[in-house]
Amino acid sequence: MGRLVSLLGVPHDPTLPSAKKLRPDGVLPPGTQAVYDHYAVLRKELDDSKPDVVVLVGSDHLNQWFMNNMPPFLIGKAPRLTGPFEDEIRSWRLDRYSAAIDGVLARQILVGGYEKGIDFAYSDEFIADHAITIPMNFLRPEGDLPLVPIFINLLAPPLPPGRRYFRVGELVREIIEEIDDNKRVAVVFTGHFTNAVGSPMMLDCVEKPESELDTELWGYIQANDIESILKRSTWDQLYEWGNGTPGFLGFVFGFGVARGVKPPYASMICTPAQPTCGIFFWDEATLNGDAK
Amino acid sequence: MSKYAVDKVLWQVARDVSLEQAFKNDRAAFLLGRDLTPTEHTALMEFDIRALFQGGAHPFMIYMSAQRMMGGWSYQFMTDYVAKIHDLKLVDIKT
Repeated sequence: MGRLVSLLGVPHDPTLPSAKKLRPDGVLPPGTQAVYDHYAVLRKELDDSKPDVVVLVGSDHLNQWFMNNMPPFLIGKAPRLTGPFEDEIRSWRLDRYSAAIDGVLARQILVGGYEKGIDFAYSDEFIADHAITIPMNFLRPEGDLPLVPIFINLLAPPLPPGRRYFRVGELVREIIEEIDDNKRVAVVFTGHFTNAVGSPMMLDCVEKPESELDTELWGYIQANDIESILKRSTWDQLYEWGNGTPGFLGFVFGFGVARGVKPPYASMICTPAQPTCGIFFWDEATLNGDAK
Repeated sequence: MSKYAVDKVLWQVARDVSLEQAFKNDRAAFLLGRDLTPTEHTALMEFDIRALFQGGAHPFMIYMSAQRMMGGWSYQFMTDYVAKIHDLKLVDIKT
């Protein structure tokens, strides 16, 4: 049986890795340092959990999948994951990432999904954009752990409701726990709180880092009020706060993987340095009901 | 509904260097035969990001294609971009 040994939720703002170089003043803002500090903690936690494979849940930012053929949930099962795109590397001075894909687990999740009612799309040829490569460069720069990428549509409406993201997260965990070998599996998911990249309110976070929506959602997370989170998690309600805000559904997916168990380690970082970031971590004992 | 056609132009400009160059070289030829309203055609010919935004083009694609049109991302690019649309309200972008 597979075992979920760690679950991590992280940000992927493309300015994070090279924030110091990208800023006109060349100074690393405290709000970005705070993200680095959390990432350092999670990097160690991922390593300590000794996973055999990492399932990575994130979006493609209309880089390769477009409205001519838009998959809500897609399993990447190419032999190898590489990325990000060249223009992302140029624009944000991002590092490349490359790692093997665990094709066996990728196919088990794909087929297991069909059996449980999720009609995943799949791809044998793709590039992972910054939403995948940034978390992995922070969490496992060595690139030595096999991955299974699950691409979820967070950008191109119409989107499924948040309940579907939560349910798919639950089912992916079920599949992982039903596989017939003893793999230790980590899941990393990434998303947003208020985020308006490309929208008129894009720089509102500079003047007011924590939006009313951030406050509301963080309150639900702290109270572990999953029902209120799910009621709020629709495209129309999140989009009102900026076209990137439906990225919160990436976090909702992770909450589904956690089966609604409250994260023992969580932080919302609201700062003028970048859009609001979310950090979440569940350890093996908490995930498997044997926490003291 | 031709929002999709507008988004596709922006996507091609943002994601394909050869198509970006083709658009920059001859916008009229690039747009020939596409399912665009006169308003959308003008917005793309002038690369008027306010008009594109108001017409329901995807903000992320406007932003990414504007980077290509204006020489890449920088903080100055970002603040200039927002200054052009800061007073606008979000519109429906579903295609």
